[in-house]
Amino acid sequence: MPAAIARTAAGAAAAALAAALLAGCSGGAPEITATGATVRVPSNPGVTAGYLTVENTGGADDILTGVATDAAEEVQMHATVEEDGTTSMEQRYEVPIRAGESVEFASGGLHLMLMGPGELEAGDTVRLTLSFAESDDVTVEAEVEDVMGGAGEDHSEHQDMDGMEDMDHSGHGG
Amino acid sequence: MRTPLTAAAGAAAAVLLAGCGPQAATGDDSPYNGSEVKGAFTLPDADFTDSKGEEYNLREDSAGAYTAVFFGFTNCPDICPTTMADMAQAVAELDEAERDRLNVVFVTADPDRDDPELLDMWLGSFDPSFTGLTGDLETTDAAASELGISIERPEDREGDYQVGHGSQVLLFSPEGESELMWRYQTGPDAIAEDLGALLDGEGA
Repeated sequence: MPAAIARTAAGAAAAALAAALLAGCSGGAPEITATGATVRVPSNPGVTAGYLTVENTGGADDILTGVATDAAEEVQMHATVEEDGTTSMEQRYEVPIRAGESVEFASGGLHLMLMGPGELEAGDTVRLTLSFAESDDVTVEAEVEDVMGGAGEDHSEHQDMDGMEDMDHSGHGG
Repeated sequence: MRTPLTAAAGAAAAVLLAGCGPQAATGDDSPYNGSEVKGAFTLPDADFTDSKGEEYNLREDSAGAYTAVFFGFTNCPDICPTTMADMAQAVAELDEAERDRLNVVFVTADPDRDDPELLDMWLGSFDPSFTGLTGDLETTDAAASELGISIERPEDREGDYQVGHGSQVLLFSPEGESELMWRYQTGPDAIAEDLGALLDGEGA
C-alpha cells in the first residue's frame, strides 16, 4: 500500500475519532437506553405486541429506525390512531427519540407489532435489537407476558395512579 | 360600561362551565364509569356463526341476559387483546350468579381471516365462555353500522393487513337495548363495578 494512502486513511481515522470525542465532550451525541421491554404471549399465532421505553439521555436527537428479533419474522412499529370513532393503526418507519426525552411504547399508543412470532410462553425472553439513525444498535431482553397477567398489572397501576384521568379521556368522544 | 363587561364576563364563565360539563357528566352525575347510552342502539337482528360453529342471531340469541358487544379482529396486536383481557378480568371479578346473566360477544370485523375455529382459540386465551361471531362482510358491516361502530377494511386484503374499527364496548340489556358504552382502556375494575351495579340492580 502506498504510504500516502495509508497516511490519508490514518489521518481520516484520527479526524473521525477527534470528531467523536468532541461530540462526546460537548454533549452532542445521543445516548440511548431501552428498558421495561415486554412481549405478549400471542393469542393469534400470526401476531403479537411488544412494549418498551426508549430513552435518550444524550445531548443530541436520534431516530429509532427499526426493531428486529429472532423470535419473529418481522417487527413493525405502529401507532394507534383514533379518528372519528375509528381506531386504526398506522405503521411508523421512524420514531424520533429527542435528546433528554423518552418514548414509551405502550398499549393504546405506539407499540411494536411482531409478525409471525410462533410459539412464545410466559416467562420466555425475547431479544429485541433496536436500530437508530445515529447511535449503534441497542439490544434489550423482553419478557414474555401472559396477556391476562400482563394486562392485569398494568391496569391496576392505572387505576391507582391516574384512573380519574383515564375517565376524563373517555369523555372526549361524546 | 360596567354592565356589558359584567355580562360578558358572566357569559364567559358560563361558557367555561359548560365546557367542563360534558366531561364531568360521566364522573359526577352518572353512577357508572361508562357512558350511559340507554336505548340509543338496539341489538341488530343479524345472523352470524358462533365460535362453536352454531348459528347465532345477535338479537335473539343474546336475549334474556346482559350482553357486552365488541367488534375487532384477531390479527390486531394491541387494542383487541387488551379489551378482551379487560373484559375477562372484569367478568372474573363478578360472582357466579352475576356471570350467569352476562354474555360477552366478540364480532370479528375481519371474517376473511377469522373463522370460528380461530376465534374459539383466540377467545380461549381470555375467557373460553366468551362468544365469537363471524358473518359475511355485508351482515357484519350492517350490524356494526346499526350500533354506531365503524369498520374500515382495506380493499386489498392480501398478506398482512389491519382493519380499523370502533374500539368501544357496548352493553345491552336483556331486552337488547343499549345501556352503557365503555371506551378503550376504561379498565377492568371500572367495568366490573358497572356490571355489578347493573346486574345487582336488576336482581334486587
